[in-house]
Amino acid sequence: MAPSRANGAAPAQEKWTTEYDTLKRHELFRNPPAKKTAYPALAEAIKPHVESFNAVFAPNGQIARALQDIGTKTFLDGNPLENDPSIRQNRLQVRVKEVFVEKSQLPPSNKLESSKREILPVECRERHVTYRGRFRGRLEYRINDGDWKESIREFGYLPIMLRSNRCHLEGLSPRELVNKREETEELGGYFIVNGIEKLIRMLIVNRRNFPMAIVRPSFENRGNTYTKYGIQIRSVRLDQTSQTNVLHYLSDGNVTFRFSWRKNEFLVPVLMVLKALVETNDREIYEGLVGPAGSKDLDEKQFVTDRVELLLRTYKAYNIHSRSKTRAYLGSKFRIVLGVPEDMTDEDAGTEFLRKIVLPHLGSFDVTETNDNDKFRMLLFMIRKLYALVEGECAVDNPDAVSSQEILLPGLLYGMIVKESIEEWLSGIGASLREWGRTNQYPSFTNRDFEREFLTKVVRKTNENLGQKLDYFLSTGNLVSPTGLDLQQVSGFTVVAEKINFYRFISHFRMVHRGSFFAQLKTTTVRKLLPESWGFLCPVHTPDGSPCGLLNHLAHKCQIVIDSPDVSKLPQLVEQLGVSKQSGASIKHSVVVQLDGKVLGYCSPEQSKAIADTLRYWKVEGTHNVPVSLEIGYIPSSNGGQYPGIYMSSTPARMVRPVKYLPLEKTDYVGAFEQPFMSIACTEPEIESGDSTHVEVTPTNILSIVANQTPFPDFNQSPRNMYQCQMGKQTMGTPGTALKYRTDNKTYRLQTGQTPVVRPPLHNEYGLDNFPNGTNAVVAVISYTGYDMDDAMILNKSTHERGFGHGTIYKTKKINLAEENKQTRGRSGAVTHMFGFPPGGLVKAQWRSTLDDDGLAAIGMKLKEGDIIAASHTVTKDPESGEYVNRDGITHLHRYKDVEEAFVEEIKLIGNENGSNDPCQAISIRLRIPRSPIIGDKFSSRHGQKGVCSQKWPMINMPFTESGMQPDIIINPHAFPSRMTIGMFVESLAGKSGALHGLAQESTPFKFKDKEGETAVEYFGHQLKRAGYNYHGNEPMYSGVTGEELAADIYIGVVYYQRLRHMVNDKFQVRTTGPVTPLTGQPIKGRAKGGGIRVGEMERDALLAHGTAFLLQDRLMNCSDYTKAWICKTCGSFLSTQPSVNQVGRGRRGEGGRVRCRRCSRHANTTDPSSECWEDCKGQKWYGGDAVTQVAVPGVLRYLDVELAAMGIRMKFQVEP
Amino acid sequence: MIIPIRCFSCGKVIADLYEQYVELISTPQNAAGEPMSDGQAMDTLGLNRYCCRRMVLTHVDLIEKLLRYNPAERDIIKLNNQR
Ligand SMILES: [Zn+2]
Repeated sequence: MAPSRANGAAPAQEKWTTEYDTLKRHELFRNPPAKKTAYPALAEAIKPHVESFNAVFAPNGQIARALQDIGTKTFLDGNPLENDPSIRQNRLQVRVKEVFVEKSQLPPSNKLESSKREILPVECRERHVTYRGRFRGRLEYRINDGDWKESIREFGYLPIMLRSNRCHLEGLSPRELVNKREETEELGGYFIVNGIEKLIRMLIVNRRNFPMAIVRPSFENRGNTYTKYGIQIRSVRLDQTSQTNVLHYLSDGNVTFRFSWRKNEFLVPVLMVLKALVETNDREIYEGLVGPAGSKDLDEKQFVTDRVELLLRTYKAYNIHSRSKTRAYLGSKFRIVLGVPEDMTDEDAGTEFLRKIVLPHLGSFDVTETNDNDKFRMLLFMIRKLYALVEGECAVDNPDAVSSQEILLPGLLYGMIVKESIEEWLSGIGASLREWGRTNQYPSFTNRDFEREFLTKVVRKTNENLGQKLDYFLSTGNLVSPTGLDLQQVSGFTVVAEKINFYRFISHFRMVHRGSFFAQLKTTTVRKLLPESWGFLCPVHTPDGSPCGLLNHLAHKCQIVIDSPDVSKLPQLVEQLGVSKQSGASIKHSVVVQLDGKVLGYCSPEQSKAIADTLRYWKVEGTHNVPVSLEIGYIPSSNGGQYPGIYMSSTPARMVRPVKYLPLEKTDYVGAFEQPFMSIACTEPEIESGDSTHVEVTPTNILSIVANQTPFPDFNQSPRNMYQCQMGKQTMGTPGTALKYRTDNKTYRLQTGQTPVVRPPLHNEYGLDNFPNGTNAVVAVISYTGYDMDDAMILNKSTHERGFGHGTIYKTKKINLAEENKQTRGRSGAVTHMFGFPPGGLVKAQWRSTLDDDGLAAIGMKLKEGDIIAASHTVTKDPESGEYVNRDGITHLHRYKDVEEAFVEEIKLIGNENGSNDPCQAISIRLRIPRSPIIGDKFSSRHGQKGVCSQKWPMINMPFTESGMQPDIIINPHAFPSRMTIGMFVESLAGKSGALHGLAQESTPFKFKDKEGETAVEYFGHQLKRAGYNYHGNEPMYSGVTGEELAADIYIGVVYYQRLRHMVNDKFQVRTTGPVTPLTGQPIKGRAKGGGIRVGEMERDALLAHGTAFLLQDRLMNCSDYTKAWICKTCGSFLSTQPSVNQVGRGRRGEGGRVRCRRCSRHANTTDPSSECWEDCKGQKWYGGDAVTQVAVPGVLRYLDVELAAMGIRMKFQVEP
Repeated sequence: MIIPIRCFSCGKVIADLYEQYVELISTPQNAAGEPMSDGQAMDTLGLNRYCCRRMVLTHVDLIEKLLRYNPAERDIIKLNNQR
């Protein structure tokens, strides 16, 4: 794993330091290297993505294995409803032998371009389409035992990962990348779907092929006698798909085998599985579980012997003996579930069951006797572990610890979906066959018609567009799968790779999610930071709030194994080291040795230590065919600890990290499973002779890329460093330099980015100077003017005017005529619209204020809300001339709908790839919004110290130092005591002296010691002193208003400030009256829709406490759902009132429209004076009910009344006076 | 991107000094044929206050990189391919 090379990256390269390297940087800017990238660490960071994708279509890769695993599907002819076996005798077998994925190219229908047929990623971004390659497969089929015939099927187009082995950018040097209009440091690892960059994020899953002891109270709900104990193994096939097997312990000592197949769960007695696997007898099973007769400690194993006896005895009830009978029994039960061919015998179906479901990692195709024997031995081991767990001999394995987890790599998931879609398609041929058979009276497969029509009528009827599934998966992140792929979630697999700044972008590729299933859990256990994570997951870089602890980031040196090295020599090696096949009775004397979930044998605990040590030595040394990426998980014997043994793994998807192996002084790669039982010293002085075997390369290896960029984080209170990781990713920085070719919906860009004075060497190693993320500001810590209260900061007005923190937002709008007019186009897809003014049509002068002659907005034009950005007109194709002509002369206008004023930066006319000369149907407009800092914009230092600009203070009134300098930013000293961000003080010192001496200051954590003479403060203090400044970083300052010296010296220095993307212009909200919810009459929510601002409980309390009752009334009622409602004073009800109706033709005006209470009135008699009667809308006459009045109430009150009335509750109001 | 005209804090014009600065730190300046260090170069240019010094010292001349993506790109790519 270590030697494999990433895209264009070469291993040995001159090391980056903290230095500015201005000249080197300029050279790299001007002449991007033609050979290899200058930043191999970056390529290393996204390796899990690219390499796992490469493995999918590699020869003998994931898909090749998957095709073997799918095998052939068999269908029979004849009518399935007539159960006459004599008719159904011909077999059709189909299989996919091979698949081909091409690079992205123009479709064959395009005849215009002859030489340059490739479609580059940049074109897909600009055209808002998917970067994809043609996907084909070789379908082979035969009838009975005839010859295989083949046909190449078109499977649509598969989205392609950038810089993978199916991408045009694979292995390109920075210079070539620039020529392909990409960033010099284009890393790839993501897909382009409809012009949006999407990536599959890494997901944490259970460690493969390791039987985990778990205790889960919910197991008891599975049925009578079920207990909370279980052994779970996630068994992974060679094609990387997995099958989880669970053994359940029943309170009577029995064990059942559980698995889920196509989202259904099944339970089988474990003995049935054992007896089906190999030809065995009760004695063999008994000895396999308990230990051979006469072994040591057998008498202590009363607990196990009792239970195994019961296990064997209860199974007698099934009365199934030999292996073949057991298989036949299993086959008869599961043949429908597995969907095996109808003519397969029950015994073969049972074999199929064992192949597909029982521990498939030990053989899932071409299963041999040896494989079955391996499975048998592994199952026995699992039962032993289960009994040990119940007995209390061993502890549970923590599924939340990194040591029992691995990473579901993007490529693996992609390959799994491809496999499944191929398999589904193959099975789908069966359905298509039946359909065809029904319409053609079930002809025999040997019939000539069938031969002719199979490809044209049967296969063509299936949905062959397999690429579409991947397209859907990537664009929505939803997994549509009949099997569920053994995963715990169905959505949220993909995220947009946002390019807000480079920190954000690179973090996406180092992000590891625990799974959205865990996000709903109420308990916090899954979110906790466990010591096992040391060096694998960054302890600092996790967001706060709901995803906290679930969304982690890999430590920057953590790698993920992708290839599986050859370990075929290992069984022989361990045998030579004294491992025997026979196990003892107790784990005190006999522990297991496993390799990738296969039992190699047993040995004594003392031997196991020696074996583990020897293997490790050989592995680091690189001898005896022990690969360096092999993980040797040695778990020592303990009293009730984790189940002991040696568990070796060589499989992909494991997290490993480099540490130094002391005996050889060489780099060893340590995995997450083995680490907890190793002694790795953190620093050289901590090495303990006789105990430590390894030492960390450097302690900062445990931090992620972003967390490593915080200067002096070891001086800060820890949550501040977490906040900085968040804010660094929200900074308005430099998303990239190939901005001209990007079409993100929204990008932020900082005009005057600088490189920080205070930074670690990793800043250069990761090439972060290519993407400046902030500005070095002169910051004074002083309480001045009062406008710096509560985390507000004062910006020097002149600083602002000279360009400090100036930013720009770019927005891309797409106008697609074809999509807007889908209905009118009909199914023909003919062009019905065209951009531009209709020839001969009326063009108003007012339209021309923004539009050019071509009917598109002029470049550089300033747009307000409602301005016209494009004109179009309808056209029809003239059949004679082939020209598109407009017949109505009407111009359709497209308007700019956003509130904010923007400039038209660029308009792109989007063509198509078909090579047809249809007129342009879509344009993409890039708009530029200048955003110089204004009051209310958010800034932050790199220490979680965010603040809002409260004033742009005129320079003449700013305080100044003795040399006449004025700060760019003033922050309040109160920001520090409670937050304890001492790192910011140190940065200020270091920044100041760095600028004075012309140095780049190294800010790696843990470099300074807490010893007199070696502290950071002393180091930088002396530097300052040398430059003629105060040792403590203070300077005397003078008030800008009075000119008098301030009583205290002011702490002033250079701090790197980030401008955050949260700006008032995107946030401010004003409303007087506006849209309301029809149901309640209250204002709708949402700034975009002109909604209201909530006065919540706390705001209400504040107003109450102030005694401002009128204001409260105004907010809660008048500005909200103020309504006038009629109410009956007599019965106190809103609902019984109704307006009376004018009597037609009576000429008695004034009476109609008055509101009466129906409940308080009665049917009018002839005696009632007609002037006091009223009529309802049905023409009935009523008398009375005139005690109604109008009151002002909140609209929801009436709504509440209605709802309560629906429940049979009447509300009665007393109306006074 | 391009160096600001003036120092943000004090307003000293610094944009004109940047090319001189790069010259000083890139070409031999003393008898031993060594270029100046960053600090010396800034001293020579009369950048005394640390506000002006950080402007020059930490400037990232990203425009050089942006110019790789020139509007006249097609010609440039052609040229590069010939090379
Ligand atoms: Zn200055």
